Amino acid sequence: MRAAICALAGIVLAVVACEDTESYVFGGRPYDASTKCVASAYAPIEVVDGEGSDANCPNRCVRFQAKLYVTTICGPLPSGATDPGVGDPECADALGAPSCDGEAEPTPDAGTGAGH
Amino acid sequence: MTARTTRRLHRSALLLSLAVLAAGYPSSARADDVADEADHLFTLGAEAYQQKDYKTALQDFLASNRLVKNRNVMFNIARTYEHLGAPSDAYRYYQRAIDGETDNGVKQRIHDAMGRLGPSVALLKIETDPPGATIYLGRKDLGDRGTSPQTIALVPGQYNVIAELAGYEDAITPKPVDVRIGTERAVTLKLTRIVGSLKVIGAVGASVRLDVEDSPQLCVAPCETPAPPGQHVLILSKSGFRTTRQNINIKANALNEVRPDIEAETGSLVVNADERDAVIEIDGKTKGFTPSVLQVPVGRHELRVTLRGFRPVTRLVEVKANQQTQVDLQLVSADAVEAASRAVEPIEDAPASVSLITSPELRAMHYPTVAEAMRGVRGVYVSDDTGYKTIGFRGFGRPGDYGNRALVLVDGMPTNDNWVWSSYVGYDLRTDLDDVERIEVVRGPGSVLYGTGAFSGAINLITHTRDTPEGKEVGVSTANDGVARARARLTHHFSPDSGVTMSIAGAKAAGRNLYIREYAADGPPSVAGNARGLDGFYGATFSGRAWWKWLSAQWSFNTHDKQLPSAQFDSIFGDARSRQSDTRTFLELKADPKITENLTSITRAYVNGYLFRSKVPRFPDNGGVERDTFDGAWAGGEQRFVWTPIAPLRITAGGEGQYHFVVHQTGANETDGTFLDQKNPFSLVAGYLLADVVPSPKIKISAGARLDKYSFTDASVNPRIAFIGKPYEGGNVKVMFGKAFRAPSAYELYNIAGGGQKQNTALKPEDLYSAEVEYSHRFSPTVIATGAVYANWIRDLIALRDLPDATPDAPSYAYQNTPVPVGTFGGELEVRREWREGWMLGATYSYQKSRYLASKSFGDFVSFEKAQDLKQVPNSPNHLASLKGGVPILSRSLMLMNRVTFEGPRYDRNDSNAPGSLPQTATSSAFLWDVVLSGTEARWGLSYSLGLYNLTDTRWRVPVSSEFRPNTLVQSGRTVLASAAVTF
Repeated sequence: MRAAICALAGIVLAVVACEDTESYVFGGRPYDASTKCVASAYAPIEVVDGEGSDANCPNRCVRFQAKLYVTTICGPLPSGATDPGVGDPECADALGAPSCDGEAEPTPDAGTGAGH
Repeated sequence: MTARTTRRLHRSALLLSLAVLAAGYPSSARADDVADEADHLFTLGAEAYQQKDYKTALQDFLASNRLVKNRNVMFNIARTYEHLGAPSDAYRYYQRAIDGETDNGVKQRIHDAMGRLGPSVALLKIETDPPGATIYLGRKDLGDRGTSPQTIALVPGQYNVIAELAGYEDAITPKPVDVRIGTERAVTLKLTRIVGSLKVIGAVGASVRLDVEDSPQLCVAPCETPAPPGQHVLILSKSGFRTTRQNINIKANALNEVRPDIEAETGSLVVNADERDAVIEIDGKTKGFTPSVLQVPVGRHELRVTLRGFRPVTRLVEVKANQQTQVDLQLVSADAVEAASRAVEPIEDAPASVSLITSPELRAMHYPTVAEAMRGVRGVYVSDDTGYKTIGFRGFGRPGDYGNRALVLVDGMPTNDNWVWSSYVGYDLRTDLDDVERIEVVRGPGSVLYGTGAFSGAINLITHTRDTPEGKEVGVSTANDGVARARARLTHHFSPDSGVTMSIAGAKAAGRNLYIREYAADGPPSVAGNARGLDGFYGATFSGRAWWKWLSAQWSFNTHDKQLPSAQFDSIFGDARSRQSDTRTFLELKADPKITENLTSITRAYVNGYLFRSKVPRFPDNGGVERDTFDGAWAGGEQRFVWTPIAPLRITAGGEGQYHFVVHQTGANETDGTFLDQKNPFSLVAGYLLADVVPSPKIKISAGARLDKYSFTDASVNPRIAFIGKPYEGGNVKVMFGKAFRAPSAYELYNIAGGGQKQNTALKPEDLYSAEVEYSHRFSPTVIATGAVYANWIRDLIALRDLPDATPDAPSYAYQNTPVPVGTFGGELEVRREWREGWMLGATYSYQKSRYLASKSFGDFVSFEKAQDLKQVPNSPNHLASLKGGVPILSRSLMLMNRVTFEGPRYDRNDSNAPGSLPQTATSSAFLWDVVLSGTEARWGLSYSLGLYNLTDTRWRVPVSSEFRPNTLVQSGRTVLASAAVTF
C-alpha cells in the first residue's frame, strides 16, 4: 500500500516537474534591397529550439531562404539561417539602412491587455 | 444423690426396661450376627442394671451401642452414668438420645433428666458458621463430639474446640475455653472457606458461573473471583452469545487463569436496496454490497447503506438468533442543495433555480473539468479561449470576462481570485473531479449570500464529504486533448465524528493542435497558421478536509501552467514561450457548534493565495518579451448565527470581513522595462440578515439582504426575496426577485497595458436585477419536469471601451461603467428521470435573448427596446438544449452514457454600431455528442471508463475577446477519455 502511494506520488511529482520542450520564433526586420530600407516591424523567420534569448543585442544580419533580415535578437540562429557579417555588402547596406516609410506597424486591437 | 432421686431412678429404669422389652429391642428383623450380639449385650446390660451393677451395665450398654447405635441404649447409658455419678457423661448421652427422637413422651423425660443434671455439669455451647462442622475437643484423635451446633456437657476445665468441615479451613478457638459447673459457655467458630482464585480472561460481558446454569453469578468477565477448589464446569453466558461450558480444575490458594471463547449467536440479515452495489456497513464496519445476506450477531445493530449520489440511509435493526431479518431500502437521490441558502435543503425548498450534477452522472460521464460538466446544464454555456474556460449563465457571458460574473465555490468556499475576480472551471480549478460528490448549479443572483462575483450564477462543488468511505484510492486517466493524469486519495475515520480525507493529483497535457486561419499568413513559413504542440499544460492539485465534531478544516492547492497557442495579447504566433500559470490555494477553518437547540453559530476563518505568471513573447519592435505577474493574498473571517426561535422561522444573521493584504500586479518587457508595478491592498466589510418563514407546509418565504462595502468603491446592498409554494402534492412554484453586484476588480481598476489600456479608479459596481418564476411538477418519485421564465436587467456594466482621446493611431481605452444596460428575457424547460439502477434520462431546452437596451428606463426594459449604437450582445446563444441518457448494459459493471448538446449561434465581440466599425458575425450552431462507457466492480473496488467526446468531431467555435486577433476560436474536436481507479 505504502509502496503504491509512493509510486503514485512519484508519478505525480514527475508529471508536475516535467517541463515542455521550449522553442521560440526567431525574427528580424526584412531588408528590402530594391528600396534599401529595413521594415520597421519584425517578421518571423523560423522556430528555434531553446528558451529564447534577449532581444537587445546589436543589430546583425540574418540570411534565411535568400531573404536578408536585420535583428537585435541574441542567441543562435535558426537552422538554415546564416549571418553573412558586416563584410557582406548587402548586409552592410542593410545594417545602415533606414526604416522603410509606409511600412505599417501592427495595430493592436482595442482592448488588448498586457497580461491576464 | 438423694433418696428421692434414687427411688425415681429405679422406677425409671424399670420403666425403661419394660419399654425396651415392649419395643422388642433389638428387633427380630435383625438377623445378622452383629445385631444378635448387640441384643445380647443389651440384655446383659439390662440385667446388670436391674441388679444395680451399674459398672457392668454400663460396660454392656456401651458395647451394645458400639455395635448398633440406638437412642434407647444411649438413654440407658445416660441413666447408668447418672447412677455412677458421672453427670457430664450422663448429660452427653441424654443429648445423643434426644437427637432424632420423635416420641414426645420420651423427649420430655430426657429433657427432665437434662434439666435435673444441668446444675451439676459444665456446659459448652458450640456453634459454627456455617453449621454442620464436626466438633473436636482438645485433639482430633480423641474422637469427635458431634456436629455443630451442639451443647456439650463437660467436666469443668479448659478446652480447645476444633471445628472441621469439608471445604473449609479447620477453626480452633484462639485460647482454651474455661467451662465451670452450673454454667453454659458459648463458643462460635467461623470457618474460612478453602478457595482458589479464578481469573477469566476475555469473553467480555459474559456472566461467570460454576457447575450449573442457575447457580449464583460469580462475576462478569473479564474478572477474577474466589472459587472452591476442585473440578468444576465453568459456564459463561451472555445475551446474544451461545452459552459456553468448559471443564476446569481450580487449585486451592492459586490463581487459575482461563481464556474461554464465546461465540456470538447469529441471525441472517438480508439487505436489499433499489440500487445495487450500495455499501453496507454494520456498526461502522463495511460488510458487503447490496443485495446481500449477512450473518450478523444477535442483537441491535446500526445498519448504514451508502451509495454515491444518494442520501445515506441509517437504520437500527434487531437480529434474532437463527432467524432472518429483512431490510428493504429505497435510496433517495441526494437532490439537496447547499449553495442556494448556505444550508442544506431540498431543491424544491431552495430560494433559487438549482440544477444538480449528481455523483452517478459525474462517474458515468467522467467529466474531466467543471466546464465539461456544465455543458448541457439548463441555461448554462461554456467557452474556451485556449487560455481559460469560462461559464455563461442565461445569455450573459462576455468574451474575455474570465468568468468573473460567476462564482465557483468548493464546499462553500469561494475560489475566484482577487485580481480579476476570475472563476476557474478548467484544470486551473482542479486536476480532476474524482473527489467531487456533486456539483450544485445555482442560476441567478447570489450576492445576498456571497457578495461580489455571484452575479449571474454560482457553482458549488461538494467534495471530500464526511461520508467519504474509509479507504485509499489510486487512479490514472486520460482526458481530452492528450491529458494524462494520476491521482491518489486517502480517507481515514479516527472515530464516528472525526476523520481526514485528502487527495493529490497531477496532470500533464500535450494539448490540441490548432489551425487558426487568421494567422496563416503570419509566423514562419513552417508554421503557416498551425499551432502544433503549443497548447500543453501541467498541473497539480492537493486538497482535503479534516474534521472533529463541529470543527473542520478544508484546504486546496492547485497550480496550472499552460501554454497559450492562440497568439493572445498580440504575441508571436507559433512561439512556445507564450504561457501563463495560475496557482490558487486556500485554507478554511470552520466551527459550527450548536449552542442551543435553536441557535447555531458558524465561524469561518480563511486565508487565500493567488499567483499569476505569464510570458508574452513579442518581437523587439513591439517591446520584446513581456512578463506579467500578479501576487494576491487575503485573509478573512465570518461569523454567522442561525436562530430558529420557532419551527416555522429561521433567521440567519452574520458579518464578514476580508483584508486583501497583497494585491500586486506588475508588467515589464524587454524594451521599456517595468511599465506596471501596482500595489493596491483593499478590504471588505459585509453584513447580512436573512429570514426563512414557513407559515404552512405549503408555503415558504425566504427574504434577506447583504451589504458589502469594499474600501475602493461604494457600498452595495443586495436583497433577495422568494415565495415558494406547493399548491398540490408534487407541484412546486417559486417566485423570486433578487439583486446582485460585482465590484470592479483590481485588474479593471489599476491595470495598464502598452497597447493603450488606462486605469480607471472611478469604476463603481455593476448590478443585476432579476425576476423569475419556476414551476416544477413531479410525476413520480424519480420523474420531474421543470419550467422557468425570467428577466434580468444589468446596469453599469463594466466593459472595455475607448476613451475620448482614442485615435486609430493611438489607442486609448479603459474599463468603464457603460451607460447602456443589458436586458435578458428567457425561458427554460427540463424533464428529468433520476438515476435508478443505472437508468437515467434528462432533457433541457433554454431560450434566452439578451439585448443592449436603449436606456435605463423601466419602459425600455419591458418593451425590450434595443440600443441603437450597439449591435447584439456577444457570446449569448439564444438556444441551448441537451439530452442525457444512461443505460445499464451489464448492471453496474458496464453502462452507457450519452450526452447530446446543442447550442445556437453566438455573436462575436464586434458589437459596436458606430460608423466604420467591424461587422458582427455569429458562430454556427453546434451539435455535440459525447459517449462514455463506464462501470464499477465494487467487490474489487475498481472503476473505469472509456469514452469519446464530440463523437462527430464537430468543429464548433465560440467568440473570444479582443485579446485575440480572431473573433472566434475553434473548440475541442473529437477526443478520447479513459480512466481506471482502484479503491482499497
